[in-house]
This record gives sequence, C-alpha cells and structure tokens, in this order.
Amino acid sequence: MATRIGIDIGGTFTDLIYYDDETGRVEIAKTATTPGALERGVLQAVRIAVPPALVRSTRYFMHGTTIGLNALLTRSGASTGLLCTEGFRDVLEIGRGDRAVMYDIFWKRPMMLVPRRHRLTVRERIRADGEILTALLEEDVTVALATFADAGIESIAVCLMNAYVNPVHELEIERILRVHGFDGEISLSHRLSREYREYERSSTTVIDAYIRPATGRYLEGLLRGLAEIGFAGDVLVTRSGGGALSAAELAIRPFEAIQSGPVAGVEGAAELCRAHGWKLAITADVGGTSFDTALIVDGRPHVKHEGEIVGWPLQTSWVDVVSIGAGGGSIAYADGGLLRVGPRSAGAEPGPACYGRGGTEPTVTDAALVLGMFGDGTLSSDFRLDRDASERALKPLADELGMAVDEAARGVLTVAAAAMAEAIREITVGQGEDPRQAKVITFGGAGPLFGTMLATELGVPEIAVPPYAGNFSAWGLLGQDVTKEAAQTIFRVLSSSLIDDLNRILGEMFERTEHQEQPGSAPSERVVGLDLRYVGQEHTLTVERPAPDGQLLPEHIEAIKQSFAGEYERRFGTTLDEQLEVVTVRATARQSLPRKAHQHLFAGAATGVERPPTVRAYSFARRDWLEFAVLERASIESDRPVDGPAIVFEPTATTYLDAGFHAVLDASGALLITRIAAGGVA
Amino acid sequence: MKAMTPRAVSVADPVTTEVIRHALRSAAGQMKRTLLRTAFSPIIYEVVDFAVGLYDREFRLLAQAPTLALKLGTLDSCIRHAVAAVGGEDSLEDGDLILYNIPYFTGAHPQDIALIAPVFIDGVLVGYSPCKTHMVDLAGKDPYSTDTIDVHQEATIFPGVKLYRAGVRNEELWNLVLANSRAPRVVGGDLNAVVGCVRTGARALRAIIEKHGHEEFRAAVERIFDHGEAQSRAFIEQIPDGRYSTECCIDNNGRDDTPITFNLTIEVSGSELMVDLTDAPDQQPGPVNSPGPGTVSMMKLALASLAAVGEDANEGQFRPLTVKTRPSSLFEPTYPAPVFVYWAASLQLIDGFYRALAAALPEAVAAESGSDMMVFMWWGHQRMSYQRRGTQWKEPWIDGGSTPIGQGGHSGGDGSNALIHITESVLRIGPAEKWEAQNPWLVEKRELAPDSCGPGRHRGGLGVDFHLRVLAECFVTSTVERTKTPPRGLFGGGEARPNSMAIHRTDGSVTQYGKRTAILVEADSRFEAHSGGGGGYGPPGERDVQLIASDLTDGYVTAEHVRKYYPHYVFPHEPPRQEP
Repeated sequence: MATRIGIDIGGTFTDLIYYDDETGRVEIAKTATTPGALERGVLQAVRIAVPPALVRSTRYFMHGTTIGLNALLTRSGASTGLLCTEGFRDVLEIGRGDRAVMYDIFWKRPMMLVPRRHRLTVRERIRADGEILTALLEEDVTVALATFADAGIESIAVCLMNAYVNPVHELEIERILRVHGFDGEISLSHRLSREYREYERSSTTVIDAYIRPATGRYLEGLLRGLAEIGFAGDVLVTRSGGGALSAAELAIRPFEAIQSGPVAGVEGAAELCRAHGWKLAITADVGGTSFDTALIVDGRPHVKHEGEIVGWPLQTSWVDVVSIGAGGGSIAYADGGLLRVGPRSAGAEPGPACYGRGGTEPTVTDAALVLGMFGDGTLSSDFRLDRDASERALKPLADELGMAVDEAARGVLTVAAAAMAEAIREITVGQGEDPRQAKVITFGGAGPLFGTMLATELGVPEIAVPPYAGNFSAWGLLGQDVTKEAAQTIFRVLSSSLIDDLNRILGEMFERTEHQEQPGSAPSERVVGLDLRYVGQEHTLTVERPAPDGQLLPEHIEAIKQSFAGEYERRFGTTLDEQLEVVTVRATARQSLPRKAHQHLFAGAATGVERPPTVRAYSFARRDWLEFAVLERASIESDRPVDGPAIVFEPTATTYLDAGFHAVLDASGALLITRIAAGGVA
Repeated sequence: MKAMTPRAVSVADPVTTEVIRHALRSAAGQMKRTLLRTAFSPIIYEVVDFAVGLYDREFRLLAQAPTLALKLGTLDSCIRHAVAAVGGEDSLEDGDLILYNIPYFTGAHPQDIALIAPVFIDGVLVGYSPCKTHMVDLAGKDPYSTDTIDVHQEATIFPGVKLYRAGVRNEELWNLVLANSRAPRVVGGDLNAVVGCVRTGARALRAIIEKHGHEEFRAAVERIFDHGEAQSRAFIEQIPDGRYSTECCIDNNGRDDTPITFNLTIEVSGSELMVDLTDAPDQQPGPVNSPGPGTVSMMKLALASLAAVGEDANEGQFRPLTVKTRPSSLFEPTYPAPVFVYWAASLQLIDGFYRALAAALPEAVAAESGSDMMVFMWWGHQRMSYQRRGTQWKEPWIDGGSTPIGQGGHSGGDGSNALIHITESVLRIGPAEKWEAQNPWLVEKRELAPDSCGPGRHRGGLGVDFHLRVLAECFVTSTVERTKTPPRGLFGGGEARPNSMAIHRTDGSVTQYGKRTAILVEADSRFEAHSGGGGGYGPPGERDVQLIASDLTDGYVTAEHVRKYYPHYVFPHEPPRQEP
C-alpha cells in the first residue's frame, strides 16, 4: 500500500492531491497560500480534503515547497556570515564582473545576501592540487567568530579556495567554531559541491546558509502539525534537479530544493512519458503569471548541473525549466504600434478584467474569453467570467493598434504563443533536439488552452493533456523517486588506466548516497555520470550509464567514449580527433517508491454546470469563427474520439481543441490530441 | 554611416511582427549557444569575446544575441566588405563561408576574424549569418601586442576568402590558416566552432523566412526597424538642440609616452544626433588607432545605452545617428596603420558621450568609470617558455581577459562596484580556481579596493586589487590605459583611483607598466593589477551620513578617506577598527 498526499505550494494557491492506491480514490483541494507561515496553509489543505482516518493510513507526504525561495525573495533568511580565504573577501560581490542587462549603465547586482561587514577572511591556503600551502590560523577563526557573535549571526557559510579538492581546512573551521561555542547553522562549501569555480560555489554555500534556519523551522512546524493530525508516514520534498529527498536530508541540504515548485509538474510529465514510452516531450505549464517549459528525454527531465535563482548561481543539479512572463494573467499593451504581452501580470489580485475583481487591463485570459475559448465563461457553478469586462479592457488596446477588439484578442493569443514557442526552441534546439519529434504536454490552469496553437507554431504532431491538468504539479509529486546525488571534479584524461581511480571515487560517493530502505520498494537504481569534453575544450557533456553495483568495468570506458562521440555529433554535427577529459564524476542513486498498483482511468470530476451544446469561438487553424462543440472532460469515453473544433471543460482547466485536431482519451486518463493529417485542414 | 535605406511601405501587422521578432531573437540565441558550447579557447567560452547576429541582404541588423557589445556594431561593415572582396553578391553560392579580417573594415584588430555565411532560399540570397570572434593567435609579432608599427605585425590578413565553397572546405586555405598560428590546435578548434555557429544561424534564418514568406518577413522587419527608430528619435528629442563638446585623453600611443587628447562633439538637431570626430589627431604610429566601423560601433553603443535600456538593438535605432570621422585620423585610420589596441582611444568616447550630454540630461548619465577594459593576455608553458629555451615545440597556452572597474555614480545612486566596462558588457572574468587548475598561477588576492571610489553625493563604485603569483615563467601583454588621468566626477563629485599595474620581481624590484608587450614574468614574481574606481556624482558634502557610516562598517572606505572627503561626517567615537 502506498497511499500518498501531494501538496504543492504556489505563489497564490496551495494545491493538494490525495491518492489511495488501493481504491483509486482521489481527492483534490486548493487553499490560499499563507505566506507568513506556509505550514498553516498546508495543514489546512490536509484537514479540508483528507479525513483523519485516511491521514493516519497515508504512507507518503510528497511535498513541493517554496520555503527557501520565499526567504530569498523577501530577504527574510538568516542573518548570515561568510568565511573566506584571505585575499578573497569579495568573491560573492565581484562575481564574474558581468552585467545581466547588456546596455544598462546603471545596472546593480542583486542585494548581497551577506553584506561585506559579515564576509570575513582567514589566513589559510590550499593549492589546486590539494596541497596545503598555508596552514589554517585558528586565531583568525576565533576573531571572526567574535565579530559574528556581536552581530547576532545565526548561520555561517564557509567557502575556501580549492576546498573542492581538499576540504581539510573547512572541516577544521567547523570544529573550531563548535569548540568556541557557536551553536547556529554551519554550511561548508565542500559538503554541498565538490566542483570548481569559487564564485558559484560561494553563492551556493551562502544560499544554503541563508535559508537553512527558515527551512528547519518550517519543517519542524510541518512535521509537528502532521503528527498532530495522525500522520505517521514519510515526508519527501522535491529536489531542484528532480526526484525527492527526505525531510531529514532537506534540513541539512536545503539548497537542493530551492526550485521545488516548477519541477513537480515536470516530474509528473516525465512519469507520463515513462508510462507511455514517449522518447521526447516538452512540457508547457501555463499558470497565472508564467509559462514554464522543460524538455524530457527518455522519460527523464533534462537536467543541468548549474542553476540560477534570483540572480545567484547554484552548483547543484537543476531541471532545466525555462520560465517566461507569459501566463493567463499577463497583461497586453501596445508599444509604439507593436503588440506586446507580459511580463507584467495582473496576478491573482486584481486578476484579469473578466474576474470582476477590479482588474481593468487586458490579459491573456480576457483575450481568450472574448474569442470564445472558455465557451460562455461559466467555469464552475460559482465562477463565471465577465465577457463584457474583457471587451472593455481590450477596447483601448484595439483602438491604439487600429484593430477590432476580436482582432486584438487574436493578436494577444498569437503573441503569447510566439513567446512560448521561443522558449520551447531554446530548450529543444539549444539541446540539439527537434521539437517536431516531441510531444507537447500541457498543464496548469491555462496550459491546455495553448496546446493546439503551440503544436501549429512548432510543427508538433501530438499533444497530451494529463488528468487533473489544473492541479498537475501536485499530481506530479506523487510519482517521484527518492534521489541522492554526489559529484566530484577531477580533471583527468579518460583512459582504461583511470578505471581504478574512478571506482574509488564512485565507491566513496555511493556510500554517501546510500538510502534507507523503503519497505516494499525496489532496491535503489545507481547511475554513474561523467562530465566529459575534448581535451582543450571547456564545456562538457554528461554521459550516463547505469551501474547496479556503483562501479565501472574496464570495457565500459570504450562504450562511454562512443556515447560521448554520438551525443557530440548529434548536438554539434561533428566530432573531433582529440582525447577525452573527465572533468566531473557524478553518482546518482534513485529509489522508486512502491509503484501505484495499477493504472486507473482517472476521469476526474465534472464541473457541474449546464452548458449549451455548442459555442461560437475563433478557430486559429481556420482563421474564422466556427461552432465549437462543448464537452465535459469527465463525459469523454475512451472509445469515442472527439473531433475539433471543441472546448473541453474540467474543474481546474479548459482545453481548446481547434479544428483539424482530434482527441482520444487513453488508458491513463490523458487526453491525446493529434493533428488530422490529410483532409483539407488549413 | 547613415541610414540610406529607402523606407518600404509597412504592411505587416503588429502581431506577425512580434512573432517574427521573437523568432529572430531565438535564432541569434542559438548561434551564441552553439559557439559557447564548442569553442576551445577560454577567450570565447569563458570571456564571451565574440559577436553574433543576423542581417538581411542589405546588411541591416535583424537581431543579435547578447554578446560582446563593441563587436556587435561592426558586423554590418564586416559583411559588406567581405562580400565585396569575393566579387559581390553574384559570386556567392549557397554553402559559402567567407573569412575576413581587414581591420579598417572589421573595425577591430586583425585577430578578430569574421566568418560570414550568406543565406539562400531556393537559390535566392536572403541575408547573412556572421560571427566575429577573437582568435588566440594568427601569427602577429606576439600573441598580443601594444607596440606594432603596422598591420602586418598584428596578424595574417585574410582579405575576404572563401574558407568553404558551396559547402566544401578549401583544405589548402584551412592549412594556411593553421600554419600561420602559434596555437593551431586551439585556432582550428575555435574555427570549427565558428563554422557550426554561423551555419546554425543560417538554418534558423532560412526557416523563419520560409515559414512567413519573403513579403511578410520584409514587411515585419521594416516595422521592427521603424519601431527602433521611433525609440531612438524619442530619446534624442529630449535633448535641446545644440552642440555639446568634451575633451577626452589617453596615456599614449603604445610606442612613445606622450598623452593624446581629442574632442568629442555632439550636434543635436530635432531627432537627429551627429557625432563629430573630424578634428581628431592624425593616425598614430602606435596601435591605438580605431578603425572607422569600430568608432561608429562605440557611438551606437553609447546611444543604445541611453535610448533603449533593456531593448534588443536593431538597425532602426541607429538611423538617427551620424558619425563623422576624417580619413587617416585616429578614428578612421587607413592602411597600413597599426590598430591592435583599437579600443584604447575609442572607448573613451563612451564616458565622453555621457559627459558631453550631462548638462542636458543630468538624470540619464553616470560619472566616468575606470574607463578601460584592462586586458591582460598571458602565454607560456607549464614548464618551458617556448620563446626562450624551446628546444622542442609545444603549443603555448594562451589565457587572459579583462578586469572589472568601478562604475560612475549617477542621479539614482552609487556606481556599481567592479564591473567590466560597458563596451564588453557580457564578458566574464575567469574563476581563480580554474586558472590555478590550468595555468601555473596562484591567485593571491582578488578583492574590492577600499577608497578607490570617487567621493560624491553618490559615490563611484570600487575598483579591484588583483594579485597573481606566477609559478613558472610566462609572458604577459598589458594594455592598461588611463593610468595618468583619474576617472572624473560629475556635478561636483570627486575623482577616483586611476588604473595601474606592476610586477614585483624576486630581486625586490617593482616595475610599473601601462601598455607593454610580452613582458617576461619570471617564476615566483608577483603581478599586481589595480583597477580604477568610478567618479562621484554631486558634491561629497551632500552625501547621506548614514551611507557613509554603512560604507565604513563594510570597509568600502576607510576612516582616512572619510575624514578627507566627507568633513560633515561626525565619527560617533573612535572609528571602528575594520581592516579592509
């Protein structure tokens, strides 16, 4: 039995999905996010949606949280100190010396998480080969500690030069700090990252230190609250790089979960890909303020080994989600005769004009409503969109552009879709993948509106709208694996004589990634990754191979070389006659939780609204107004394909099925939309 | 260089235009990523010393990716002259790639080489996909020079030759290029990466035009240009008509040590802006001459930075701009004038542009920055210097880059600390840990330099102190400028620390250098670079005392500095003993 609750905290709403593996029962809830004390909103959602008896029998609490991100965004993290090697006090501030905005003479860095007064240096030096050049001067640590104590520092980050090779001085500093009575949090750079580049590693360490106390307090409150309502299972939190980590791990490695939010949906999409055997897919997650897209190859999200959060780099694995300001609430405006959409958003308050909460500026949602994409605008029994308000909001924009209102509305949707397509090209073509070979998986409240438009813009033949599309991020949480990773930079030429060294490093790393066995689950799956490049190059490609016992065999070396050459050829159209260099060795251990017992047909609920059987809406494919069939998603039967044009309603999302496309419900409950090949479609 | 394009009747609708703009930007982005991911030289992958963009058949900028700002504004001239050199449009075939580096038309030193892919659809030429990038060595007298006497000492010249003809590489030419480099492996790898980059751009541009059709595409492009033009004109119209003038200076020409001064004059009339540099000194016998297209590019950048912050550059934005230069002068040198340090003088025009317009636009400009890129280029072997004791040939490693400087204070606040000069806006400094892992170096210090800022109501940003212990003999070329005249303040703001560099040798001697080529740095010597701060904005006496107190606590300034420049600040008790 693996009954689980998934809870995803978003900027506006906290989403819950409860899933009982035995009965197939699903419960959904949405509550307002409670920014001051996030755990309150979470516990509230559980109380509303899941009866106490079911809470007690729930095995896993799967969680996507913004606790760390919130602390960064609102600058409400810990009062943090940073210890650096003498001569390197300003690594964090100087960074790489570049500007994020090219022509901005006034460009300013994001505010320092640690002001200079709390960045202190110690005399010590380790060389790039790991040899100690200058021994650590204990006195410098105690003097710094005195300054930190006076300043009320709660959390100390330590990032020394070349500590990725030899961490002995960082460990010594930790010991000294403890001996002298420091009882706050300590983040040592080498525990977080064994990769070179001092600025990126310092930034990672500082972020970790900065969010650690807040994360700890949050977890404490959450675990206590869950215990009070009888939950006795495991809490697992989504990692920025995919997979989940335990609450205990999160408390000591909070930087790993900073991008928890957008990743859960991608994980859900990846699970869908694995279940269907789809080789290549693109996610199109459209919420209120943003469009998030990611690439899924062979059932796994495309993962980078460096992330960025509010302008700060992070050395950690990172699902490559590209986010742009084009969501349902994004505001359209005229700029010198050109039509632009976003990144400014009407958000949840006041929201689009059609919400009738005081919004007056035209948004993507308003444009879609005017075009009939929400039918008559009745989304549920108690939520009706105001079409007149949308028209009033669009009118000034249309006038300024010299267009009719519906023409301007078409423009808004088209421009939003173009911006989304640009982001999708970045993650596909930029990785050497052809979007025309991919499935587009649309979710989020506004995602399924854009599926057929994106398919047309990108030449994609097939779109999938998963079940519970509007709550899909929470749904995605349910299928995650528990994942642990380690990495070590080494700089060695790849040859069969390297095998012993590689296996020694791998042995150590897999020891660190050992999992606590989950009852009833499969043994963990181990994957070895090597970041490789041609000798002389800088950038690397990661070649992965499964290694059940965590070791490589001599014959694997040749296979790895061939994999690299194949991947390089595919991405860059050529290969080079050079030796390969291993820059970083990576160890990943994934443990699947007990699988959902069987694939249900997840029908979801009906919206409970009486609607006319057809509605007049604009067809982008035919460039004309047509009669669209109006359907409840819950009423679609698996053996009865639906032909576009149609609008498909469900409680948290609306699917726009343009003319020339048809949809079938598959066994998992996903709606698969295909372009009708021949037959006079525009 | 002025707009001479006939204005087509704009028929594209605002929506299609925006769709095409997104697609073009995405195409330029693909070019950038391809080059970054495959290059061999840290000058490309780490420092981003290259420019990519897409151009139409009339050499007009369609879109660019954020790459080296200074190089971006010269690509049109590169294409125009490269195409002319191979015999004009009629001599182009699908699959050709032209190599071109005549500096007077690329606007840079000949180490910056342009590779240009003409883009065809069904046999019809529709545009160009160019890339201009720095090659680490093309057989100049040294890998990096500040004392050349003519262009032939700077690099091998490729005057517009087809490296690929209809998709087939010219192997003889390829061998010739590599034979004329001290670093053939890296140059070969980088050239291959550039080939991939311009082909990526060509494919993407072709796809966009095929999708929308020639007519719709052209109409949308005109509309994008008109939009950019309107933006620039709106900015220029805020400036009262008139002549605005300022004097700029540099230390010397790289060969003798006489300071050089020159005037920058801006004439504004309605929505037109003309930059007059015709009274500049004659072209110099040392390599500080700025080729005409490079001069124009500087002025495009200055205008873009004031008129269109945050907006992608396009051809239209530069239509209201005219730059007047005089042939055979510092800003339009002619053959065979040396140009290796082509930015030394022209870069001064950026802060000069702001200074000249300061009285008219006090809110739009900043005080002077450190006003140099402070480029250092290093080479050598881990063990053996090839020049001195090389019995066996080994390809040298070559690494280097720019140094961050303080930025000028402005009406909105203090200048930023330690950013690379805006002309090289996206360049990045190398990580010390990477340098130590690859080069025989030990970085002893890279920190903000307290007190290096110009005082003011809004102070300048801080420069950087960079100390490097050299563990094995190497060579360095220093291009440091503005060591003699400190960065100036605006509206009563004070001067900042000027740039400097020195080598501390094991015998205890210390030698300061400005622009100097191939300085031998013996093992265990210490190299020090001290980059300049930014000038202050407004009188220091008006600085908020809380900001002064905060700067003291952070060690950005010392008590001594505060006593000297901010007499209105009252120390609460003895100044805190905060060592910088």
